[in-house]
Amino acid sequence: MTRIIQQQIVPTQIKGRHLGEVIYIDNIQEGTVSVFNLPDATSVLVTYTLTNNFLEEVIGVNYLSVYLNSVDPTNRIPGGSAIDETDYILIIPQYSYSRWELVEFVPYKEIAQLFLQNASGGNIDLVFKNKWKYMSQRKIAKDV
Amino acid sequence: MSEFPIVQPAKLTQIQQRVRQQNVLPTAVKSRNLGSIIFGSDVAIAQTTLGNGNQAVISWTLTQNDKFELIGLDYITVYVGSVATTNILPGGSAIDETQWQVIGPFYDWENWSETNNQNDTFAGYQDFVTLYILNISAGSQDLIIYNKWKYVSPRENL
Repeated sequence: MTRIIQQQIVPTQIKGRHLGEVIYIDNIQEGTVSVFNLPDATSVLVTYTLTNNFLEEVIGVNYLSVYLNSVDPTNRIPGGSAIDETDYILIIPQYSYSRWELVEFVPYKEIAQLFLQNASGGNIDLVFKNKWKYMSQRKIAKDV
Repeated sequence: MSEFPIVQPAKLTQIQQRVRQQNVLPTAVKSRNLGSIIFGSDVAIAQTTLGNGNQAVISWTLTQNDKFELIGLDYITVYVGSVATTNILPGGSAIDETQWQVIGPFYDWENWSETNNQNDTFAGYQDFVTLYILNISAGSQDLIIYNKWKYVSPRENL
């Protein structure tokens, strides 16, 4: 079957049939960090990077949740019923200009960050979950 | 003899035909059509009242009803008291941000996960965003929260 030329009129259904093959979901990533109470120190900066290993362009959104001690909706920061949010300073700028600049703004990476400071929550363990949803020409994009 | 050549009518074979869905597409087709796969949702407005020490966890879900994949951006603005640029949290000239704790908005792994009982089979046709607001010391205040999604998807049906 010959490839059609660009000037030809394409059926409207083509958009939908092709777009479904460019939106993908990455694997779940999980990490645990111990964060101590003041004045010992006390904050964590988490960086999430999505990389298309074929060096093809990617655009993604980073889903994340932070849990105190264990993965349970009641332990979620913020919003869990067992959580006092005033114990924490949580800043979620999502996309990091400075980290992207470090890799010369390559279009095959997405880089997001999360900052969390333990203001008065005692010595704690934090569990981080994240998962990227992204658009790219190919599915193979790997979290590193 | 005429100075000008006689123009022949176009042959039927020269007329562009609509291609079949089975045809192999040129590589540029997707980018030329991208403009018609980016959509906007309707505006949604929510309102709540928070006193000192009260908090709100606001979650938004975007769902493509035909279960086509989508990626959405959730545009959000929070007003304190009434809808005016001076009342925007954060940034409004009438707002003291030290009276509030705001976390997010962020794409919410927990809410996305719950729709699938935390299995690793997340719905590609939904997006979830959450915003947390704590009124530390602003007194009793009405919050009016506007949001509107912009999203890319093969179909518009929300």
